[in-house]
Amino acid sequence: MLELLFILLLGMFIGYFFKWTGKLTILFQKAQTMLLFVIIFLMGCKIGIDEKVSANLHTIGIKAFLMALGAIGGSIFFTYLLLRLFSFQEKGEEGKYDR
Amino acid sequence: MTVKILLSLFFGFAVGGLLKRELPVEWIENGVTWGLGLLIFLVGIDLGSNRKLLQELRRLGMKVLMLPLAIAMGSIAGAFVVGSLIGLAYNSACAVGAGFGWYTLSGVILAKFDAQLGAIAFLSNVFREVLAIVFIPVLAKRCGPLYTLAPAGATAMDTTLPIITRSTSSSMGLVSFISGAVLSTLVPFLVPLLYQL
Repeated sequence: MLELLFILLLGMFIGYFFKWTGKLTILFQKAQTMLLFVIIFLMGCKIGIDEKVSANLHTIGIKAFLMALGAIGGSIFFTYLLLRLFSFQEKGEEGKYDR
Repeated sequence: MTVKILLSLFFGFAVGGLLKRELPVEWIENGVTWGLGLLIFLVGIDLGSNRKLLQELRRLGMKVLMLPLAIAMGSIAGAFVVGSLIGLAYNSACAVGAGFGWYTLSGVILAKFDAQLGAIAFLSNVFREVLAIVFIPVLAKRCGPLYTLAPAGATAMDTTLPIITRSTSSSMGLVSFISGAVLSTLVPFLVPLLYQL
């Protein structure tokens, strides 16, 4: 995990100190989207290969699915409470993060 | 976007299931590691060339750290509620919720105590990651950029980071990374702690 932070910071450093033309930026964003699909595909492969997961998919799958929904629902609700409690918006800003 | 992502996930799942014997897992692991590294690097360049980012961070300040904490509490509370509805012991339910989508780690930790619970934790957090992929674009559109961090949980620093930045803006990249990093740090502490309650 630490390598990823280093790579992120390295990319940010390069991005900050070199001028990027519009064309290159578009190319990079296209590359990002393509890479994303490749990684998601590989993630799918990994789950498909893992027999422990695919064998148990039916028996405990529903329980696990409901737990995932619960965790996601709870986290969205608490995020909502936090954003309500403390306004992330400041005067003069159009509230980019708020809404 | 979401449909394409799900299609590639299912396609991968099918290929993985069919070529179980032929496909070495190390290849895939390496592919994910290198692909992710390159992707994160490109995201970094995007972030670095965005001059507004530092201003945004200064504007958000300490609030950036409060978000992952709220997401952590919400995940555990939500898992607790659902767990009690489907008859899971409260400590097990909370521990599963505290995986925050990091399925390999939470699954392995809990499998040490109870094999069945380990499998539930593993699957539940796989589902969380998959559901996050579905929910992030919708939440970005309907509720706002910061809500995308909630379903992503710990994965906001790697696998779902590019989905978050692509469905919001590249300036969300660092916020997303911080949120995912804080939650990832909590997983190895909270999962065993909550189970032993």
